[in-house]
Amino acid sequence: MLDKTQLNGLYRYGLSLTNNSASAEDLLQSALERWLPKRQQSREPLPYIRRTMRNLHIDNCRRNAIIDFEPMSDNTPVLLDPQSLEQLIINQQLLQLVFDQLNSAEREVLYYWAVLEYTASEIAAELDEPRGTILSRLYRLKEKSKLLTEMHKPQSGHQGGGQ
Amino acid sequence: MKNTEHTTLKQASQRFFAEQQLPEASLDRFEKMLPAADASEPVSPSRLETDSPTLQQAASNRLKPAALTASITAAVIVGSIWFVPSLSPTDQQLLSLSSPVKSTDQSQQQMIAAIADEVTKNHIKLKPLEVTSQDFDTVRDYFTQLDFSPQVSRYFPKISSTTLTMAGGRYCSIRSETAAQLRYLSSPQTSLTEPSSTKQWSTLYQTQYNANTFGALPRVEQGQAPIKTYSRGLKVSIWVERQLLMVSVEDAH
Repeated sequence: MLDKTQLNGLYRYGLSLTNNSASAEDLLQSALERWLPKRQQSREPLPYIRRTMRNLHIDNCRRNAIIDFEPMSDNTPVLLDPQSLEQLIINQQLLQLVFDQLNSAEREVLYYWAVLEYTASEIAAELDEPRGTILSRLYRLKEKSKLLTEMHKPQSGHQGGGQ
Repeated sequence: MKNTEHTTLKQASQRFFAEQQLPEASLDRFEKMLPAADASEPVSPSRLETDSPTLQQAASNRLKPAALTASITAAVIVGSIWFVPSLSPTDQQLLSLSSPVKSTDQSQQQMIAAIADEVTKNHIKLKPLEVTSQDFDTVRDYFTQLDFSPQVSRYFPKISSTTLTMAGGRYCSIRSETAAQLRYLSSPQTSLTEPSSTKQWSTLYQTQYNANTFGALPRVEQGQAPIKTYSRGLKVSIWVERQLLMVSVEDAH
């Protein structure tokens, strides 16, 4: 069975999809309900449950006409240099802002890249999507993070903070 | 709090996710929802999502040390009681004759446990294959960065309870030594395109054998029986063949 660490891991994945704690819990609950009757056949419960959560979330988005996994055009820029993403520096406090700026697909890629430490190829294989699509999401993740960092860059002369 | 510090996006994201936790009441609700492990389940399969040090730290911070110690002790006791009687007579004989428990010192036992832990973690993770082929030579030819050439094991098919079909391979490591991970489907009837949850995989790891690194391990060509142990509910066999360290992982049947 699943322990607390695994449940929390799945909850975090749900958060990456929904960016809402209540929705993430609901998603986890629904996925567990679907997994439980099939658990004996499922040798890899975590990928299986994550896949179920993802499918449920996509269904919810469709039902609510939310476009969270938009199609990419051929001209969408992709991340050509993975190191540039690895080396990107950001203020920890900005993470929630970054998170809010990303759509489901980008947050999901962030989760796989940062938490599970998958490469773009591995994420593509796990999500059954083209590697180019994943690289494009990583590129947008980088660009949005850079933009927010620029916007919140402290201006010179304000560093002391003392009055 | 270190929340104001600048760090890499990856580390910041890891911290951010680590801070997100289910409320205790919800955790309790989910735990009640999950029935106790069935008797037929050896150990819950775990693809832990604590790969990153930050999450591991976060997870450990949430557990009280005493409770953690008690849990680990209980797990070890339950594990020993559970697995040993479930072994086949052959396995029990092998354990009593060739197990490191009697024939090696503590450090060697730790090495074997560490190898078993590492390979089963990789096996459960099922990372994507870098080369896919049912032809061993094609898979072997992929591994150009190794200091050795992966070999067809004569022993591996004998210990497997099912027919093995080559599926592919990828680079990995065992105790920091670069290794080849060769993945097999345990039934030829199983389609490569089936959802992974229904596939039965066996994994064979190969790396150059160095006694200084891995200690003394049984050599099957000299008639020595492989070490058989269990980790994360999976059956692990360790032996040396053709001067290669070979480690197989498969379901404990």
